[in-house]
Amino acid sequence: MNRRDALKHTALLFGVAASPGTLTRALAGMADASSAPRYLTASQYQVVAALAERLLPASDTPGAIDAGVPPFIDVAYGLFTSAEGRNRLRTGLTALEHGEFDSLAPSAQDDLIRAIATADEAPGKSWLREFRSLTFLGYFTSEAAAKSGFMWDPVPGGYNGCMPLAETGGAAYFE
Amino acid sequence: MNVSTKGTAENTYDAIVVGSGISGGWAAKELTEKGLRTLVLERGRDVKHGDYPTAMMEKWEFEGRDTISQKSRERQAKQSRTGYTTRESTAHWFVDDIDNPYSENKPFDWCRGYHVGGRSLMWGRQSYRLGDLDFEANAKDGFGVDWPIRYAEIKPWYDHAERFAGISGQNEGLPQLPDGEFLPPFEMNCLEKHVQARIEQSFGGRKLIHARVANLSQAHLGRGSCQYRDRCSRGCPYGAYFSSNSSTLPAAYATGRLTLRPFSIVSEILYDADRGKARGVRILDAETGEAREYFAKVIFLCASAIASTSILLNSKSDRFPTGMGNDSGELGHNLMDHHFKVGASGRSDGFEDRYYKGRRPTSIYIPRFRNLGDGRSDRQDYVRGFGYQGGASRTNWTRGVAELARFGQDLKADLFAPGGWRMGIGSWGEHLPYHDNRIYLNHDQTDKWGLPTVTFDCEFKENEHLMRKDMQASAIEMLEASGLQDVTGFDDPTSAPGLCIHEMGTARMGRDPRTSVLNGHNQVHAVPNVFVTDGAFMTSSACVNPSLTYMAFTARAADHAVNELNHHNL
Repeated sequence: MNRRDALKHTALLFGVAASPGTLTRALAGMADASSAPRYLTASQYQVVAALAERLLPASDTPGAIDAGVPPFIDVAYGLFTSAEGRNRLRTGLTALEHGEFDSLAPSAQDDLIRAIATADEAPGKSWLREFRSLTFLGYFTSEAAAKSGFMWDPVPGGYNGCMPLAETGGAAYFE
Repeated sequence: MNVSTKGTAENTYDAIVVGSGISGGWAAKELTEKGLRTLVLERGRDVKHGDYPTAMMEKWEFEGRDTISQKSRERQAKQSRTGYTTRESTAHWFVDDIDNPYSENKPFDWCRGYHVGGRSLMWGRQSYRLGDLDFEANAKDGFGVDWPIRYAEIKPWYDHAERFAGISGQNEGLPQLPDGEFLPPFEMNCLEKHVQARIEQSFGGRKLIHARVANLSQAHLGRGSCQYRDRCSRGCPYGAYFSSNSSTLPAAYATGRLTLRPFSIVSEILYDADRGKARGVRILDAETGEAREYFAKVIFLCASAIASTSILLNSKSDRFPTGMGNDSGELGHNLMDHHFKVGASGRSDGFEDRYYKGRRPTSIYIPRFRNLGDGRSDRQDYVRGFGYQGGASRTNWTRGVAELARFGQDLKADLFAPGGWRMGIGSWGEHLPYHDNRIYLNHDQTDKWGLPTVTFDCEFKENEHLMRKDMQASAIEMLEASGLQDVTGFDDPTSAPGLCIHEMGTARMGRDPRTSVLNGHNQVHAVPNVFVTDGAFMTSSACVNPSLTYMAFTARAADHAVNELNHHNL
């Protein structure tokens, strides 16, 4: 399987091939996500991408992969997380790797996530919380999120302390 | 030691200022504007206004999305204790702890920046005056020595400092928190206004006010107004908050009388025994290690409380065997900070359809309401008091992290919308001056320049611990009375002195040379041409953020120094 086929195959597994447009976006994202990780192993990285995308999938706003979450988690793992945090993250990823998480059908992935969310033993709920924390940080501070789901206003220039929420169409400002 | 004293004339100035932070910047501005050729010595690198590398960066432009890197955790382990100072956007403003070590007999968080502007670049900008409640406190309850000054004497200098710095706020007519010369205040949001009204209804005389901050709510003296980005501590390219870099140093440069020498570590003050005065300072060049001497008629120590006192302790002579100006034995003692990380927060069901635009760089303030000397507010369990800073906002995407069973498109869509409203208030309390809270020089551990390092021996004691109980209980009581739900208190018992980054004392002012280091004009009692005008001079800590007080006392001391020079008294 060449690289493009691999990407397509992986994208299909993520269940994001609903429309040609989505597939193109997913492939663009996957190109980033599949660029060699600097700190995680390639198979750990596949698990990271698959899990992050199930947590925050593409919809009318970009998914985790399109938003560059996997490369962020790779760098966070390598350069930002504490030594203990790194060990914990690796332990959970290894378990999911052995369970071939990234090869499961999306519904099976979702079932597994729900099971992890209530499990006490690793990778259980505390592991999932840490992973969500990294995923959400990577996603909701991304340029893709700032310029899609949020109101992005880098230089507000003024302040209104009590305005109708409708003025942003219900969206939060990017912080 | 090979000391270069070549060219004494070219190494001679009217005044030398040690340090370029809030106090040093003010000393430079006042002294140069009054005609003195002034040399500012800064131990770190130069930073010109606008030279703020992260100021315009977005979150996604930081590799770790503006968190703390492993490298910072290793190299800046102590600077990282705040949890926020060494994030990627500001880590370059804080020192490397391995190159700049200190020791702790008890935990003390000494957070500092070695560069032109010092902590005036990263400060919290909250600016409040001390009043007579504070200046009289030591004399009344017997902790520490009496301040040699009362509010009426410093009031014009607070006016002067505020007019130049640009403080946004509102006059309230409170005796415990004197009014000032303010730019318009920053607006409160819906929930803050609601809580303000409820607190003022429920607690007679208690007020929730606009924080008073050195952020410009309108353009001021050539500096731009706040752009509501809330990225102040990275350095503001608009000059919309007060820093040495944006405000005082440009004013000093404009006189043509300022010389600023970066990479200049002052190791000691040189004493002239014949004249009973200081004649200059010795420095080590931080880059070359070369020793040099500079000479002047007056010396302003503005290196920060701990550093200025360290320089005095290291300035030994036959006359001063334990450090310059230490006749009283109080040099290094009576170290204070504020104690904080205690308060409460709760949520509000109201204002669901309301929101705010802009990231305000400030908050609300609840001035002190305990032990005001009116009988009604006085406590039996502790002396002095505390205030609160706080604010309301709608929660953000982080609220979704802990909802482990929720994921997918719906959750993602929800987290793009603001969550419910919350309001929190945190308290800042007075730390009494205790003789046994101190620093001293550690000659067994020297730094990379061979200079002694500092050891801290400081703690909070019973008065602070008892006050904290009331700080939390009162916070809960006020938020519950305001109609907030699920109000919970907090009190971080691990919070050590220093974490508030308000080091004060160690060269206190006083009326009596036998019990204090400085006189009422910030002069070393026995060496009158040495002025100490940073946090070291504080005779008590009060409960308000101290920097505005350093500005006022520095300007007053500079005025006194120039008058004394003109009368040939120095």
